[in-house]
Amino acid sequence: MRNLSLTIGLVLITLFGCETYSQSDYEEFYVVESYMVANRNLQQVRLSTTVPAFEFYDFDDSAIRNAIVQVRLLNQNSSSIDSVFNFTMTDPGIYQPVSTHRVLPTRSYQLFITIPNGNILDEISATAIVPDTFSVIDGILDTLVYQSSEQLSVTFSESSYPGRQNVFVFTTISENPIIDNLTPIYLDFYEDDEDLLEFSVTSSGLLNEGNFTQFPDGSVTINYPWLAVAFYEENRIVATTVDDNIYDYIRSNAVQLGGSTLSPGEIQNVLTNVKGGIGLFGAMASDTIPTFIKRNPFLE
Amino acid sequence: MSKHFLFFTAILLLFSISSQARQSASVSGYVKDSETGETLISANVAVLENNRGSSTNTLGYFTITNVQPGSYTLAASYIGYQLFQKEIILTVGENLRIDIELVPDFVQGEEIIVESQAEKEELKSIGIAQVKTELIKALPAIFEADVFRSIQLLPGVKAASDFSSGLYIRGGSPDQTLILLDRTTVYNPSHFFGFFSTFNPDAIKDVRLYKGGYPAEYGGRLSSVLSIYNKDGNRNKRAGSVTLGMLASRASIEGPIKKGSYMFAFRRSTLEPLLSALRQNNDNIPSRFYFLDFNGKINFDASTNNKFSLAAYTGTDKVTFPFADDAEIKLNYGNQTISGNWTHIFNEKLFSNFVITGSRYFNFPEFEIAGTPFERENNIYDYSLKSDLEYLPSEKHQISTGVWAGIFTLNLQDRFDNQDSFSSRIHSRYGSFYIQDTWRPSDLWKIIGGMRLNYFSDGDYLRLEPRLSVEHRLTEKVRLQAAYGRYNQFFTLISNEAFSGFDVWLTSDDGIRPAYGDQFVLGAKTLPFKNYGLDIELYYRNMNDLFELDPFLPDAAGLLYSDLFRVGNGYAYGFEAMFERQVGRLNGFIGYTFAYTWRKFPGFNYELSDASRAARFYPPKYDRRNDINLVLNYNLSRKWTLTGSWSYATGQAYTQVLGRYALFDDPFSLGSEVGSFTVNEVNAARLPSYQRVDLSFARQGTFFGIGEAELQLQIINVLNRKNVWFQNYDFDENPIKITDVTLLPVLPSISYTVKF
Repeated sequence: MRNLSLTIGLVLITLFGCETYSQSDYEEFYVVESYMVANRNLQQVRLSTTVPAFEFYDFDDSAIRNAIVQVRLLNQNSSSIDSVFNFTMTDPGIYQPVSTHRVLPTRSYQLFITIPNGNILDEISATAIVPDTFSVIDGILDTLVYQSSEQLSVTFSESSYPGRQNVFVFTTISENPIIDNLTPIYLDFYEDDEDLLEFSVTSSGLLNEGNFTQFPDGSVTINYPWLAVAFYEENRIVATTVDDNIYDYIRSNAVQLGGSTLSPGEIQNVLTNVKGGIGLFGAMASDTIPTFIKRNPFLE
Repeated sequence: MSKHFLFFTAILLLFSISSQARQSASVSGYVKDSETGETLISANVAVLENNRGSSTNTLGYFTITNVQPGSYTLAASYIGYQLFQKEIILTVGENLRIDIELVPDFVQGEEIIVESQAEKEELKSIGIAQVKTELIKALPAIFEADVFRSIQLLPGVKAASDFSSGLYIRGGSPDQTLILLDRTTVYNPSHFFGFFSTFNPDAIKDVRLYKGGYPAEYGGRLSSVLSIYNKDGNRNKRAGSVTLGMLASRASIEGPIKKGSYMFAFRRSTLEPLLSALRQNNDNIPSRFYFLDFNGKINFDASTNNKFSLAAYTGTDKVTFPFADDAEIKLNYGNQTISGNWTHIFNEKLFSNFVITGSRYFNFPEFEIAGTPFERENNIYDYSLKSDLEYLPSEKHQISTGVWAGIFTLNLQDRFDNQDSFSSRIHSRYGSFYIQDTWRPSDLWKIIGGMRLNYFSDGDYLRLEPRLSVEHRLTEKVRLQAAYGRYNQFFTLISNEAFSGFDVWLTSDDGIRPAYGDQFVLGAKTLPFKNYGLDIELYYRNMNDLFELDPFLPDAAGLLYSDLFRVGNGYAYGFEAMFERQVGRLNGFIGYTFAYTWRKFPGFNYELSDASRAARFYPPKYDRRNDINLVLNYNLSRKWTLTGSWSYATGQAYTQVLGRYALFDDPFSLGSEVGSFTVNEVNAARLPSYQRVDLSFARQGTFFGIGEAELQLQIINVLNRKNVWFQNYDFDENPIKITDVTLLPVLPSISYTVKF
């Protein structure tokens, strides 16, 4: 019995003594943020760093002020650079394009940043493919009655993104976000000390094209859910198709603190397709539908 | 000349064997409870004078073959029953059929031991644990006695939280355990969002957990098998019970019918008065919330060699929760099972069992928010036929073989805003064949070798699974065991640890290979002192081609089936010890587990600065290094019993957040700050340790002369320890504010049971 116990003990020590998985310390990363919107002018680039998780966070304090920022239009097969657009810092960490450039749909753009760091230059780069544009071809209604049988049903022309179906995000933006205009569900959620502007924009999250009615010519029809409407009266509905960078960022950020099949407390990094840093350099195409939502007397 | 010599030698040998067979006798039959007529599983039976013994199978049947004619003492024993002894006389070629009835021993005396070498055969083989229903009912429980929560106290079995009855066995997730009720697969064995299991302790006869290295008779899961049998019903007299509890109440009735018996048990939640009272002052209370289940079984003994039974289960959970003025959630999910069983005894050497089973899991969640409906229809139908044969060609060999064939159908249909958004229909055929030999070359060795062949039509997968276990009796009190097995799994479960109300099963298919793994187990079973047992096991298992739903997948519409998954691997190893005393005024056990479990999935847990995004192994949340459970039962007096449990476990794994940053120009939130964390190693940090003490006081009495009564007073988490479940981060505060979300506080509970 004693020999048996000794043998078991030795086996245990051998098996269990070797496994280590220790916690690392905080590491600082560069953070980029910029968006390319098809047929719109180049937008600003934000550049900052992370801070330790439980310290006070202020963008200005963590802004990078001495970077050289470029956005490069790549050629059709992304093997070389067609054009370079330089940026200059206008506010701490915020870089604006020196010249205007209308973002071309279906083309690839590269964000390229160099930052002096002592005797070396840190480099950050990211590439985004701009989705093809699309437009509304049918179904716009100027006025709708909230939760009536006549629902906003819109048909968009074909858009495309290489290698996969389109992924949409629908955003409803209220033009008149006052408390009297809140729809019943959002009025129920609203608490007195909350900023109404936070309710003025609602977003659907990522929706695959496969959810919608698709036609042979590539157009799609969506029925816009009433759930997305937070305020009566004037609203703009923005339909957006997103690139892989935005898709990866949103889908991973949405579950970073829980949800899906992940256990509570099992936190992973957001998927960022940035070399030399983290953040988001994303591209999208969008179209906007204005509409007016009237109150439904049967719900009041 | 040599050919003739060999021929005659063979003839002589065969003649010798058949002569011996004709000269020897056998004894077989069922072992039952003398009061209820319930068959007893794994009861010991021995022919004392020649050290030949056996134990009853899962239908309560035993056979001892190749006994030389003569006079013997046939003895049988089972924990909690008086010793049975009977003088028998066996003549040449006689096959004596004798059904043994054991008398319950109501006095908690010393263990009655059948004094034979064979009797000292341990009930349990390697990796098996048996949980008595009496213990399940006696243990302090969160409102309701629960099979799974009792099993969570065993070494090697972990719980994710106080809110989940899910079984995490030897580093495996709950979907890696096959759950069988009367041999029928149960796909979502939980009520009340996973709070406790669907198994009514009043209806159950036997709970057997194969923690690892399970035999060729079972397959289809990587980790373990939990086999639960319903009671047959009292064959001698009508009996029943009624229990009133704070969360739910139960009623059962059983009794004899001509040539058989019946058992019906019903359970329903009784929360409505409480919910109604809470709704007076609080809007966030469901308008409807109940669960119910029903177990039924009818047995018919057509003859001494033919028994039939029909067993059924149905259970459902329903919730309607209007959580806002213009928003409502409805949940409706549950299980239904049915099994028809025919046991046929061909002769004393050949025993057979045939089962036809049906199982259905359904889940129909519905949301309606601001006139926008979301509906899901999720149905699983699993119909199968099983047959098992046990053949005893000699006293040294027991051959088991069987087939299991079935059809599995999964329908999953999502509709959003009255439009179909996702639809999947999986219709698969599956089949298994196994053969296994239990070989006893001597009294000191037992070798079980087997092979199982599995087929799954979706993907056309054919998989071979060898199994081997060896047991050596080192001394009278020490047995050493080793086992190996290869296991395959064609299913995966989409679930969330915090909430099991939306569980969905998916299967392997073209492009998604079944998961597979190997298990190695070493064990020692000892009897260090009289009435005490000490079991030790070491295990190692690997898991390959683990396929599970990609947690980052926001929407499945329009994707290929194979694109829904991430595929990775893992491994687990550990040490378990269990020290128990099963009889006596003070009885119970203490179990200890030291274990590791790891997973790795591509694109997950990579270093942020690593451009190649090489995945690293990480421990899942339910990885706990040390786990101790102490369960004690003490008869304070004839009327009062105290049962207590103490659970201690070192902290669960969690991810320590290291850095933070924010995006400010998100076009979908127009200027609102969107905060995120940076982490390095997933789940490299540990929460504080977990500890909980539960107590239960039970008082026996009578109820106005109608029958026996038991009042049970329980206190869960007597110490009111604030065990941490996870940390919550509030990004609205700057710096970010952390709040611990804790598990159950101290909870009293009361129940009253009347038995008639």
